[in-house]
Amino acid sequence: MTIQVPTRSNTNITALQNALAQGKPSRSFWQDARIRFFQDRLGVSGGTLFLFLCLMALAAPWIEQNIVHFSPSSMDLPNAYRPPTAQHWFGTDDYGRDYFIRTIYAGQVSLSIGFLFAFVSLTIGVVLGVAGGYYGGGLDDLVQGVINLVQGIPMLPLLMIIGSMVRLGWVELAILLSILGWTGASRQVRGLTLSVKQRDYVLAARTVGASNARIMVQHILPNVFSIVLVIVGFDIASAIMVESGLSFLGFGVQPPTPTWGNMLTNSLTYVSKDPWLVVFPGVAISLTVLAVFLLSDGLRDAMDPQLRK
Amino acid sequence: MTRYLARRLLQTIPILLIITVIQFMLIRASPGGPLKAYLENPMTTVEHIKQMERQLGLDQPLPIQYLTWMLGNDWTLVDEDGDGVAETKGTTRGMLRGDFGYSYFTHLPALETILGRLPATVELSLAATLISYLIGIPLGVYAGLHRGGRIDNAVRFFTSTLNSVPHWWLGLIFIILIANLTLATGVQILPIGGRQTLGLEGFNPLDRLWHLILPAFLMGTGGWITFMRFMRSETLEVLGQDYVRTARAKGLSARVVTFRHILRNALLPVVTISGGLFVSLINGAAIYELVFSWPGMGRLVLEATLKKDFPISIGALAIFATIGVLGRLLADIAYGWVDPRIRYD
Amino acid sequence: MYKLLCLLSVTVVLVFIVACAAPVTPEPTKAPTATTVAVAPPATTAPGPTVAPKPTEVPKPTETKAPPKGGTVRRYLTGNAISMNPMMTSDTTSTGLQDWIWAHLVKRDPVTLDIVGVLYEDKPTFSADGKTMTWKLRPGLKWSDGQPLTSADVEFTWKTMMDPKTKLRQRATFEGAFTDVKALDPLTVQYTLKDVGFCPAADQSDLIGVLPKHIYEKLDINVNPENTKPTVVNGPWLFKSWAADDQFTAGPPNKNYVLGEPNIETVSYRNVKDAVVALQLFKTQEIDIVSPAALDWEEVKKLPFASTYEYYTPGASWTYIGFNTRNPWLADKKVRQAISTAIDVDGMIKNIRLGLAKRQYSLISPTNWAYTDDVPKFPYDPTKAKQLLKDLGFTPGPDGILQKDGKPWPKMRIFYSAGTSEREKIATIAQENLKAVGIPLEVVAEESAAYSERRGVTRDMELFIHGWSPGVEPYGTGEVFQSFSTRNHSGIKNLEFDKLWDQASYTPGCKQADRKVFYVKAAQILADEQPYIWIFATPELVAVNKRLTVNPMTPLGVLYDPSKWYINP
Repeated sequence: MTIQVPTRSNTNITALQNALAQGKPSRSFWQDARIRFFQDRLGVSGGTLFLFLCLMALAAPWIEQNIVHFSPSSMDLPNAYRPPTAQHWFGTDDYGRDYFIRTIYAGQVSLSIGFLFAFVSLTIGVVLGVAGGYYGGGLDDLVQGVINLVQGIPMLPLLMIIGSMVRLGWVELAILLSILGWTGASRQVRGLTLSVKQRDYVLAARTVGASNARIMVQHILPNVFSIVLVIVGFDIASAIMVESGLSFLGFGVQPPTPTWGNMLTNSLTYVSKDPWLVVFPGVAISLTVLAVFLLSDGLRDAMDPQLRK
Repeated sequence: MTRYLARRLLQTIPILLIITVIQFMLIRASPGGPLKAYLENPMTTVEHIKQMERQLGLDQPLPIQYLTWMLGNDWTLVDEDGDGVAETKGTTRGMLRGDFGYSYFTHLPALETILGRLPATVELSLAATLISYLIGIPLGVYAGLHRGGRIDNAVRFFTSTLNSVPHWWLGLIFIILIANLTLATGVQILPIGGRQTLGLEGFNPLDRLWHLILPAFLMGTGGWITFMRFMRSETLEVLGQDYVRTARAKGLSARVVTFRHILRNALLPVVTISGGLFVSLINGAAIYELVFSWPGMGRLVLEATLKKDFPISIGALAIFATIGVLGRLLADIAYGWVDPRIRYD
Repeated sequence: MYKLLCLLSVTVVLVFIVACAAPVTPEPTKAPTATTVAVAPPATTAPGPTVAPKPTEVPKPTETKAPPKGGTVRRYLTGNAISMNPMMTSDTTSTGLQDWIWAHLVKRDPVTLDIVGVLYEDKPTFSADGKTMTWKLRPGLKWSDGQPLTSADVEFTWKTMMDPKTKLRQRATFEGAFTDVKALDPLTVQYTLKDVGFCPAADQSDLIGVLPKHIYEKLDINVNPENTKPTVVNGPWLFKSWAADDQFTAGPPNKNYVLGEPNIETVSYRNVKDAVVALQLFKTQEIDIVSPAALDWEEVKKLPFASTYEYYTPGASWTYIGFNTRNPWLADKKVRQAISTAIDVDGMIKNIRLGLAKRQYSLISPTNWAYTDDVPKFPYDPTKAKQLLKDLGFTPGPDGILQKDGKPWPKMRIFYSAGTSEREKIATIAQENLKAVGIPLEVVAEESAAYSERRGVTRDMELFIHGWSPGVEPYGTGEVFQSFSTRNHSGIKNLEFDKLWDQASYTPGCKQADRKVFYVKAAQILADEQPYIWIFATPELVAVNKRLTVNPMTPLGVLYDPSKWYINP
């Protein structure tokens, strides 16, 4: 093929002029991302499902009052172990409590832990990751050192020890998990900061004399935000899994407060006789986690199509 | 290489130091403190307590206490009777020399108890890591080579679903399934738990292997899914590369070319992931050891925390951290050996 | 490529090295030798229900065909034993394991229910003035190392028990029975009764069994390696290994066992997470004996390879909710009675035991000879409970929680032993019941050994759920409620009860019918006091794999003499 030298005639000035004449601005990154996201059916279905589950959890008291008419803690011993019926959509548990409303309230707790964990650990992770990546040098070494340190702490044994000294409510649990678990996010954020730092517009901004703070807010954070959205999803999922594990070991949120974790473990005794007791919390967890994974994958693909596998 | 290693070794020291500080603070913060075992004894008088405080150096300022705890005080003189003159020898050997205290319940040395259970956990974690390689890598390569095919889609769907439930919970479901299956058919495909069959004497490798399969497989599930995904994307990337096309053009078999390139590219990241994987397996072993009645260190710490047997549970922190450090160091060594660039660093 | 293979093979080799190098059953190591009492950490003992002395069959003339020897019996544990030394423990998990390696001085005959000797001969003789009781040891008894077992060992055991340095919590039980135990000659042991006419004297004469003097006299009884690894025993089997929270193995059979060398070669216990896993193990026939929860009983009965036994013993175990009467809010017995009225016990029996239990109202089991049904009862009536509390000055505050004189009811905790799903259900139901009348309760699960400490030592609790295994003789059961007892967890003080209980123990003539008069009155007083809410007495539910032949059924069940069990050929 011949090598074309760009001249005024063969660059796409006409198209540009036409577009400008029509008054259509070029699309921003976010608009692009949004369009791509909504084209991805899996991501959208995941997102819708997750939204639906969160709304159900939030609306638990309303559902209790207006739809189900059973409280999660009111016992009905003679009617224990009933399979799903029109009256009890998910059946009753071993105390005769309505399993459907318990599953919803449990979702409240599990999702709250997930969100709080994601929020706190990302706050720490982003601040440290951006600071270290951007400023580099001694600060970066310090942050890396802290990351190595925190990663060297054995999480589960430490959680068990603290759990044996102090009773952990869901808030304390989520915060404790964040203090030990922010390092993964921080590493990714730092990596992204490093690469964004090299980009042309950042160099241009610095040449022009923009302050560090301005650069971080205007250029770094928006890019970081995209990866943060993805990490939030995985954080929520992993917090739910960890909480169920801790409930199993006896350190999670204590009964009678239902969480998907402790519902899952308490119901195992009855798996041969009353399998629905095991199925519903299990399905709840897997649906939530699947939905969140699909949503995160969709978001990631929308933000950076080059990452698509 | 040696300089690289030396640097990595030096980097491990601050972590271990911080862990010991955390341990020190935890022991002080635990209900009853380090003298809890003595407080329970109705025979102990206030004088006894004071004497022991002085003996263990607990009346000293905090930094000195920490040093005593780490280095012991049996090589120095302690003022045991409170008269202001240090004339008796101390009694603790200090953590650095292996004195982790004694279990509140069995009164055996804590370190010995912990180390006694260590091999079981390491065995399980190593087996899980091995399974992660053996299943994850071939599966991932195959899925990548046959992208879009039925097996690829099935595997991707199956692993996504598998990752959305806790794997240890699946273990319990399996146990119940196995029991019911055994009842129905009379054939027991896998044991319910334990490290070897109850009542069996001596070391029977087949029996031990049979007991290892299910716990190691479930523990390694996170691992082989990770490796599978990674190898799949590696394969896809390599397949799209120019040099593959070039090699094919030259007449080399596609299979051979891709395998060599895939494995070569994948080696470094796999090694990096492995270190972290093994360490996280060790730290998280407690749940699997509980489900499968596996006599490992994780379950020991679980029991100790439930019983509030602090010398064991807090002492185990140091062991876990040390293994973590060693594991990552080994991975780094392997990394350094495999990556020629590092060697000449 | 080559490097990858290298890495893989290194990992494989590592796995093998670790697996081969580490023994599956770690050898217990020596405990530190104590230089002074102050230095060595003191042993913790766990108070708890005493177990009736494990009865063994009176030796019969030899059968026509000798049962086959050898084989292993496999069992499971859900709790943790504390020590292998019977003097240091009284919880059922520890004694359950100890009974395989330690013999008893006396036992209860499984058919007649009389106290007969095991290491002792036949029955005791009493002096004319009733002040002393004398037992004779069987001649020719030997410890497992061949040393003779004599009265010196019994006297040594007694002296060690009474030594104030020994951390023995049941001391008061024995001090209330005997003032001295002396060796008159190598085969004769004389017990001096604290008070003449102590009816359960024979029952209590087992003490805690007997320890070998030639081993323990050189050791500090509280902390020594024999407590975790006994080298010399006198029970049916020798001790092989014990890894706390992992497994326990006894074997091979003790040739010197008083009732004859056992048939079974080894007994192995493994620790499992809970009854769910234990049941699966039984279903795959990896263990031979299981005591399933009531909810699983129907399923277990259907198993083709299991022989199932369901029976109430005369000393049926009962479960209760205890009050800590030292707490000012729980000090008034009328408050306790009102709380009792708020608890739905019948609901619990139906829901938790599926009806496989007998309602209990006072401290004597419904199947015991001293039982009476004529005691104050507080059947479930939440409206009445609220009224009773109102009459006592407790009215619901704005948040529904009861208040008195402006002070709201403090948040109280109800404890239970972790891993026991039945007790967890009792706790949860009780919590819900009490919430309905305005009393806030927090449910707390605690590990069994730590829970023992709480009940017996710190008593930092308000309500506590636990069980009691009484035995045929009521003495020990009531001693716990006497105001001076060190095992009085509830802190109840009723001098009338103390007196009646002593009268029942000292009834002239010691006839059951006469003693029962006092037991009835005592039970009535205690039921009125309600230091415990008695919930139910439970039958034994035992399933045994048909490959194992156990003992013939008697009032004491089918597991009373393991030395006679055998594996079917």
